[in-house]
Amino acid sequence: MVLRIRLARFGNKHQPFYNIVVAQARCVRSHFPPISNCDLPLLRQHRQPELRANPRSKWVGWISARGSKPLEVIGTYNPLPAARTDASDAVSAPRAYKDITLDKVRAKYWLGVGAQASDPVWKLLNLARLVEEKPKTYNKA
Amino acid sequence: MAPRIQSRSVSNLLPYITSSSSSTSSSIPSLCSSSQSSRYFSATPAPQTKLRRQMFEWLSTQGSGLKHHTPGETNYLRMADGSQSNRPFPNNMTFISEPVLSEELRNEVYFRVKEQKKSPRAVSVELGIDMNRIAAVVRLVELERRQRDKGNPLALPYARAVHEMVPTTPLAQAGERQTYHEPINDLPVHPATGAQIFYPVPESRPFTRVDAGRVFSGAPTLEKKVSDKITHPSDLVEDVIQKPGSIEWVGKGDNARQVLQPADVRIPHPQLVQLARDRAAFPEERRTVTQRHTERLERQEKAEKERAAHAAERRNRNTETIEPKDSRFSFRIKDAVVSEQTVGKNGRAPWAPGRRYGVPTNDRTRGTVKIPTRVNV
Repeated sequence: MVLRIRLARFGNKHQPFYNIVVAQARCVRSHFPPISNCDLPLLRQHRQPELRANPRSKWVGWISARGSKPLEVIGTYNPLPAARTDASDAVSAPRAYKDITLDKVRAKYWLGVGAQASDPVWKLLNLARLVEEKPKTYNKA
Repeated sequence: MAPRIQSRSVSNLLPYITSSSSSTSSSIPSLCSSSQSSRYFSATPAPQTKLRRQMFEWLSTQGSGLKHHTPGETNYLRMADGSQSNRPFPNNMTFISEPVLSEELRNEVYFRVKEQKKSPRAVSVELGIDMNRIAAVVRLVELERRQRDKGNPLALPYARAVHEMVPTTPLAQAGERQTYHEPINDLPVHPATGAQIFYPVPESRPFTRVDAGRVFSGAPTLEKKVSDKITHPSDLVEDVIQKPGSIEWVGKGDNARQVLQPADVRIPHPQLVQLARDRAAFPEERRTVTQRHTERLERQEKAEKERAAHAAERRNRNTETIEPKDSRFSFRIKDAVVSEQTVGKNGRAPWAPGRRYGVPTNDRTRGTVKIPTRVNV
């Protein structure tokens, strides 16, 4: 049972906007697929003995859908850069900025209990100084 | 099918403006005399009408001055007394060319705001330019400078041409008085004042603009103790600028609104009212009046600056800006805190961080009017 911290796309065409969410990476092994992701905690509580009793059940879960309801929304990420309006005396225009909202306390908690951040979220969490930067390919080589 | 006009030489059919009136009068009778069928475009027997003759007369006398324009100036028809007109089309009296800022004046605005560090409010009063325009000029000159520094070409011939097409407000020479570019203390009509209200007031009771504002916003009448302290509506200016939160609220929920303040408070330059009142009250003490005005202005500007700084500080308290070395962008990380106030009891309040699940966006719900239905002044 892996938890993932990942992005869930919102917004319209050409106007992406992401929620940073904590979601199940994979659904539980069970006789039948869960109705939705929010039923997962329920399933875990009530059907655990049954699951134990029948470990070789037929249905194998899937990676929870991008648009499905997550366990928790811990922030947002707006990838569209906004131009800075506070013009300074500098010759070059100031850098455009991208907005990130993040509940750092919850993010730390979920990382602490073993949630794995996806690559894009890893970069954002690295910016927020919650995780170390992932080694790049040329670093590994 | 209508008969086509046969091709023939039309060299001297239409005498153009450049040809003198004598040559035209000689050429046209010869054309007429040839035959009836030779005139294709005109049924007029007279070769030269009165209006036409007058036109050529005008072109050779008064109009000759307009043939070549002075560079850097408009070339409009002059008034009867010879003064410069601002109407480029003399038959359309409602069309008036409004002046634009001259190059020198706009550079002066930038110089006073950015180099001399004067407030836009003070510069607006000095040069007679609306405060919004002052802000726009500073932004645009900033942009122009940036383009220059980058070495990008500027559309200077275009700017020169436009300045020759519309009148400009010049910058006053040293010792001269600056011409006001536009009225600076205009007040937009507040929608709350649109209602016609019949409000009987006893003759014995003073009813001022402060009271009128309260009636328009449906607020209860001021207590006598409080209203007696206000000798003039502009007395409230200082309080409102120092503490904008002190403006009273009426109504509940969506209908909550601030009590409409008198025009003396809402105009762009309320301190000018106080200056005029001081000048009228103490006509002999000009220096003291000016000093009081300067002090008042400084006090108000200080309060405004403090408030702006405080607001910026509060905004940035939870925001961290990170500028990675290998990125073109900077990232603003705002710390959202999960509590009952921020995300609601079930953690899914509409104001919680993130877009909501299972809730259609507002613009898709049935019956939602997408175009703005009101303007907040």
